Amino acid sequence: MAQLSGGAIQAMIQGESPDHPILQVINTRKITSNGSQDRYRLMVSDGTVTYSQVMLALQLNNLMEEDKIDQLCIIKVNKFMCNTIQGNKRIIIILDADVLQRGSEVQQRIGNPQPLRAEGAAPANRAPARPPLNPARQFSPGGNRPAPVNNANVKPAASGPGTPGSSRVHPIASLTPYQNRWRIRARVTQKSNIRTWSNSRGEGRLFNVNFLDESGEIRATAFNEGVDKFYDLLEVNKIYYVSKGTLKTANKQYSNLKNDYEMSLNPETVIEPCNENVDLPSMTFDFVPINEMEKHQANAIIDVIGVVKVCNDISTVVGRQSQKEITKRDLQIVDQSGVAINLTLWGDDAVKFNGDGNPIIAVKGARLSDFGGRSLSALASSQIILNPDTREAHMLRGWYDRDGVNMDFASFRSDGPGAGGGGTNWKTFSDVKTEGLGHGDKADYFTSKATVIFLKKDNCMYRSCPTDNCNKKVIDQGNGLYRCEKCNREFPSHKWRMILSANLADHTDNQWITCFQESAETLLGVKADELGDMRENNEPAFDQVFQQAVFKQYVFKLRAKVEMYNEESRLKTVCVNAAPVDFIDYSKHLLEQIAALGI
Amino acid sequence: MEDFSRHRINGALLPNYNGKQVCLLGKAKDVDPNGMFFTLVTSDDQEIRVNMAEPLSEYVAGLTEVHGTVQGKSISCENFVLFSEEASEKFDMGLYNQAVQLMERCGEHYSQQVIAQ
Repeated sequence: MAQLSGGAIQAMIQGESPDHPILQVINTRKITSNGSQDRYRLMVSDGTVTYSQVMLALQLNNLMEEDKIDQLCIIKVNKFMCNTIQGNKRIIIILDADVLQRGSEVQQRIGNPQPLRAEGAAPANRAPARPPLNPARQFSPGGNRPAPVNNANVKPAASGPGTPGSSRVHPIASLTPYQNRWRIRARVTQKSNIRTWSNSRGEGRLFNVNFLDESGEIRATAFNEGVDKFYDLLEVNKIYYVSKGTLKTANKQYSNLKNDYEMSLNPETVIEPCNENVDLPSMTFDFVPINEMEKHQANAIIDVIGVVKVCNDISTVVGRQSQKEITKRDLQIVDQSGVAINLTLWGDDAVKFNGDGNPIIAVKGARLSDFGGRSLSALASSQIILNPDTREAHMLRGWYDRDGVNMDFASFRSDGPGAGGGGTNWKTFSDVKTEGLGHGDKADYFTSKATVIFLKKDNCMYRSCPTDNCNKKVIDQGNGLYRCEKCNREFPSHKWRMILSANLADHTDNQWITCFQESAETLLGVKADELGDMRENNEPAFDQVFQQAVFKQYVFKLRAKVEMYNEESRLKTVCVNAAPVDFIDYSKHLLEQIAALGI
Repeated sequence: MEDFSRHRINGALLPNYNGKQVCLLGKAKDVDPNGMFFTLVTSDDQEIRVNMAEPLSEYVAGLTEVHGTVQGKSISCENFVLFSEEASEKFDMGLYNQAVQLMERCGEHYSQQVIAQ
């Protein structure tokens, strides 16, 4: 039976580095936490003392889960660290350990260890902790009695330079919020642009990078001064030493890395370039051929590589939630599978992109969407590489220049008979009902050509907060002031916002829809503020606007989703956009549909 | 029963409608100095001579719709409609030609005649 390293615990919590201490696990406890992985807390003994402030690093959880560590088992600690928390409480984290003997074989406690209190870690306690070494051995079981411990073995190897955790490199997978003295050596695999935010609590800037080493990945984010300090320092694909970052539970909404934690780069954080030649994994891609996109779920995060066949000009859309203008650029990319897919770049990536000469584009972590059959979107977390120097890229280049340039490519189409024309999902109103649009988990977007047959005048507009991007209804205080509850302010003026109910008809059926500001202004042919003025001061003119607006045709982009009102589900169809019919485009669409009939 | 139909055709369909009333849309050019005829370039790029019963009294150019009777390889014009220069420029002749072909091919779905009661 293995000998326990008497006195090792005392040494460990005093910041020394005993060489591979051998300890007995007296007890284990699972600590479950919401949102992150379970952790295990141990009580260990070195034969002299027991100590319960011991955590098992996450990457060793399998030892518990596979039942390799059981009660009374004997372990050899290969790597550990000791952190001080809450003033003087010392916590030992076991980073790497081997099980020497299973508890079921040991069957009993070795020695008569006495509990060592967490705060009893002052150096003064050290001397009295040693003498009980020998008594401890006297309690060893008689049958398979261990050989007497040589005192030289027991002596902790405390001669290592520095304190543990300062010079050693820790694997990323071992980082947890419970330890603060770590240093990682990792490659930057991804770096975002600098983004700004602005909300009720203020505004600021941030960017993030992903670090990768042999053990795993972690996302790190820097804010404000940190942006100035680290943005230029950190370069994609280079290797850095990082220490003194703040660790916290990862917000999976913003990150798709396989790590329960993420790092904030704070002003104390130290980042140094690593100039040594170390063999760290570099960015790895798992490219999905374009014709296999349909095998993946919508919203899956995938890697893709292709030749930019079509590069559209940049355009802007207004974000549905933020109401901010967002710049985007749509690309069509192709690969050897003979299928084309749309890829959308956003913001700076869209502005800076140059599609001259059909470059190769590789995107790590693009989001697959089922919009228009299948399409891809480069997220803020995606890494976009133009003309990468990889085997796949060279093969693509050769293929495209030789064959691909003259090929016809298939593209993804939305399901359903009405599909056609650039991914537009044409539906008649009877299709909307028979196909049950809007009854799925996600909203359905479709396009219809229809005639406005009725517009509801009642409650078609409301007074809203004049602040940009705040469209909250204001309360008329009756004293010429309007109060916005959201901004918590009073204003002498207000904006008019439209919320117009319209009944549309096509040759198959009719449909009630809701139009907000822009589309309502299109249908009525006047600006909301002018209309509000008419409603107050010139009712005949107001009525006339409504009369003149009916029986006109538009191509409507609509969004259908079943929503709950007072526990009653109702299909809500909102107008995303209304545009006068472009007869050339619409004729082409009709010709396509007729051709699809096969007559 | 009198046939009041006036089919919308292109150059290729002209032989099928000999002696019948048609509607032919194209771009006018080469007007006779005496105004007795001009050339219509049809949607399928054929040049058809349009004969006038009386000399033209206005300038004819650009997108023009001719109503008349097919006489061999020409049309004797009854009346015509001139479109504005703006409409001429925006007009998608290729698309129009597809529509004409479709109307001919699917005649049973696209009625172009008035049945006299």
